[in-house]
Amino acid sequence: MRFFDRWFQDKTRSLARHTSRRSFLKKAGTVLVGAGAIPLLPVAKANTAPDDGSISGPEGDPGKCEYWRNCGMDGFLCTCCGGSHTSCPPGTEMAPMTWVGTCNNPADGRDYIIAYNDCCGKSTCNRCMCNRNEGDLPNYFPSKSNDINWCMGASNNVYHCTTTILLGLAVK
Amino acid sequence: MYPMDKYSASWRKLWLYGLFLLILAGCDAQQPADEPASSATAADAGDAYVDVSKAPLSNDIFGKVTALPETPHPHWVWIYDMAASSMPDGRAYLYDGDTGRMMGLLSTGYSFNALNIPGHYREVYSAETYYSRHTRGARTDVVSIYDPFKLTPVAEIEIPAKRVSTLPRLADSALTDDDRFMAVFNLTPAASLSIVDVEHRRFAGEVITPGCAMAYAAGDRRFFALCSDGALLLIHLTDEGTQASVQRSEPFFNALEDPILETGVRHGDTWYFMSVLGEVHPVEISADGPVFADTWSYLDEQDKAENWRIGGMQPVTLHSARQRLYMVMHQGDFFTYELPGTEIWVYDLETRARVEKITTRQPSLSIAVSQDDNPLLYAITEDLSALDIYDAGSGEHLRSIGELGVTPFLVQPLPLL
Repeated sequence: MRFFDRWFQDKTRSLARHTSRRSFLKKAGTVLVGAGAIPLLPVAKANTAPDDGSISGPEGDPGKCEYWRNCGMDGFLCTCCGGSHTSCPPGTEMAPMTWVGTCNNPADGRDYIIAYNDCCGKSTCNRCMCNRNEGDLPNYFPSKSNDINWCMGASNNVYHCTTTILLGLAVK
Repeated sequence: MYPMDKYSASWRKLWLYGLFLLILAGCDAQQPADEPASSATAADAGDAYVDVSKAPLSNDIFGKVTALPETPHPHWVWIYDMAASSMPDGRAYLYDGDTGRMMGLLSTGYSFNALNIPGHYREVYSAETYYSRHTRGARTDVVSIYDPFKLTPVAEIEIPAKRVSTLPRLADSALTDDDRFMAVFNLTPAASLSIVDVEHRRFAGEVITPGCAMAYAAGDRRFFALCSDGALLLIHLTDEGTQASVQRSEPFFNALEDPILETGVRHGDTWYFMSVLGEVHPVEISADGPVFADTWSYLDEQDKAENWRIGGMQPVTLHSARQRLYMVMHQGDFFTYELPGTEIWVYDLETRARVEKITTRQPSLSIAVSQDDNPLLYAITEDLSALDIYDAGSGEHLRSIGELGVTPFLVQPLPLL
């Protein structure tokens, strides 16, 4: 199957689950972050990471587009590319800047801030394409656009795949 | 023991192999002369039949390369392909919309976006990124200038190595109305425009556009950008291509509540931007600056009740002479505005009335219409595999072009020349 077939399938599935604009405005405030900007986010420290193992089905599987942290994802899942959902594949570099989403963890019902840091420096991974437009805005709003290649912040802007870094609890 | 013996044996083998090839070549060269004599009895002898009444084919001339006729037609159409599965390998395909024939291709580097096509069509421009070692090494950004008939590069202008990398948008670069200056959108994430004097083949300077993105043409020495607070930034250039002044408007849309799509269409001095919730925003770039006319809705109450929504990567196009506005439509909720549509709705720009609904052969992601008197409506299909071509007047499906590219997102017909 061509990857963009999967891309649109994933979009459609996502939209079937998530259709409320109002809920976006309430929950999915997304902001541009660099390492230095993280303290400005509405984030509180979580004592322990939520346990994905207790989540049944694809929402608990980092290799699936339906994985709960992927709510703002647009890219190839690094889990499928030799890395993991929190680490880049060998030989790539994690971009320090990205956009973030607020995703609800079905294990504990809490909202968490997730940063979608790209991994850069090798050609496109081209595996496990995942595009969920929850919270996405046009490119004149870069901090809320998932159509932008965030490898711009790395030493090399060649895009490879995307991670989902948990930054902390979202503060309401 | 090793070196010399092995060395000599290798050379012996090579010499014998070369001799064998020469004998083969000699046989092959003699064949045409032998054919008539032997062919008279070929059938009797059980060999392949040879018609001796016909002269043998003449040899082809080696090394010919096709050049396109220098008679560009408004039904020629460019397809822009970022090759998302292998982004260093961007390409622009040229097709003939009347025959469906592929005419040629430009290789356009990493994270390719789109060409900029001047009205004279003696050359075309492409903002491109290259790494010295394919995906690593030194980065160089350039505006490449191509001969649109030989499809070869004729010049390049180096620009700051910070052009934006996005899923393709036509508005990531633009030409002034007199085709002299090109603006290339940069995002580092600081936003700016690189201004290139394509006529004199030089980088003219950089204009900072804080909080504003992309580039839209607005006269001979003006571009504008759209801002995240809903404002418009109008940039005035000097004749040298440097910044003369900038005007920042009051916000004319709400990016959070009802964002406009990046794909704008232009009729004269007025640009039209469609919002997600169904409003048309006319923006006239007058001599004194932007003038925002009243918005109007392209959705009636029933459309809204049925969740009809504009969507796609390039979901709107305009036939300027006929004032016909085409939009890709689907049913979905707020964040579906990048999804393809099953219908193309046609509006009369003057009366604002919807005059037709075209049901597409396949869901469509990106559309464009040629600007001639017998216009073609092009639609890239949702799986990016084909270009569906319709009669833009009747909506009749005429033909489709398959194997369109790798991930061809954008389509752009030639302008009227």
